[in-house]
Amino acid sequence: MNNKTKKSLKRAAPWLALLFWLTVWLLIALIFKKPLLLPTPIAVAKKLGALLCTLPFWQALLLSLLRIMAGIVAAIALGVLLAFLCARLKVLDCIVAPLLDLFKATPVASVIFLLLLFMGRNTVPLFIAFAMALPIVFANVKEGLLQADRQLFEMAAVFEVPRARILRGITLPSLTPYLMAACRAAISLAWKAGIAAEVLAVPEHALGRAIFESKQYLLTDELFAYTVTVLIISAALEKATLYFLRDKGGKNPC
Amino acid sequence: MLKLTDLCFTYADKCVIENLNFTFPQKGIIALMGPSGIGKTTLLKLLAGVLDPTSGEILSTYRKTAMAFQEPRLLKWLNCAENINFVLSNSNFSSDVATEWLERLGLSARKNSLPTALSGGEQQRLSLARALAAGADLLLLDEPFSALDATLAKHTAELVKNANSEGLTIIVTHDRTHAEWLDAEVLYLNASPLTTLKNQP
Repeated sequence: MNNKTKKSLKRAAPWLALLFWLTVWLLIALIFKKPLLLPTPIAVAKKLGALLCTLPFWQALLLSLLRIMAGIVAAIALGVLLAFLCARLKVLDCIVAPLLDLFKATPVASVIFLLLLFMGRNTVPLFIAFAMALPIVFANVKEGLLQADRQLFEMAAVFEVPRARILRGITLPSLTPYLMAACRAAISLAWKAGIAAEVLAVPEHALGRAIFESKQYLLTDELFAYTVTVLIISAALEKATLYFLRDKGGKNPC
Repeated sequence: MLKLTDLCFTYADKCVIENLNFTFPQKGIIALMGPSGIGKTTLLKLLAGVLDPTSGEILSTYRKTAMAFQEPRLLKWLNCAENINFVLSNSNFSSDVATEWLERLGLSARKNSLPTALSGGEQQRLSLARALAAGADLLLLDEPFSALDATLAKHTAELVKNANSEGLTIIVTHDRTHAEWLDAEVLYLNASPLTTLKNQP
């Protein structure tokens, strides 16, 4: 097998795997013949196609994205800020780190129901996405700051390099792999937890609410179609973030 | 002026430098020589401000300090020219400065390469180019020729000799030939803890 064929196979491997599992799904659905419990992938695709032509689907998709992304962006901003502060101030780290560990350990469902007591159902998914993403971003960025090469900072200090240039030239490029790992983990987790919060909080115009209602009325093909949408958006968000961060990492600071 | 007054430095409970008093000449080239582990690099790092003295004082009246460390300490995400530009102050910044020093040190073909693509010797020359390009009047070089072959080391020594004629250059070396190429005044460090710097003819 030559290199070109190997490369083509490598590129096609994920699609072949997807095709394999779709075939397995189709076969199981055809064998059991219970579309109310397990619709075929073709029925789900048809339903998704139909949903794409409706306004409520786009409203739900857009508002879910806005809510959850707002929570994730806020978590990234606060997580990075807290990590910078805690890497420098040990006292603050002693106060903040256990609280974020608690966030990480608490079951999502408990937090959702607790938040429902204090705030409106439209804002709960935002806070859930925020609470899920914050500890991951904080821990990764702090680790990145602690692992950054001290020798490079010493070198910059000897040459009296301005602080802003050190930040752009050493700190941020050193952090990029850690921030990428954090975003990768945080975005998919926060997105899934945000949708779960929407299922429990049933806000207006939300993918989670649509999933809940599909389940209530036993519209299984619709339930699957919304679930596929959630999966596609999750993968797209992850890819987009990694592409953006890879593009920004290690640019000339001078 | 570079003056050490009652300088002491202790590292991991080991006294490396004890009550060292010395005044370096205003300009010229000084070679610090002595056995491994005696404290040559430690002294250079103290002069650069990378380490803080345990007690005592270092008084420097030089305008700007530059250092080539024993390990190259390059930014692996920036290319060779950008690594030099990174340390240039805004007042002496010019993209020509990096190009000029890369050319002098035989690295012009590597201008756009990342440090990870360079050999050990090339990385050391880039680190040296960065120090020389900074326009410092106190130049500290820690074994700058250790990864270079004799011909290249001699050529590079010639550049170092002429780079800072109005300031002070202090170089750590194990090789007396390097000191001779540079016409350097040799200070020999042979006692631990270090208490004196002795001239060596």
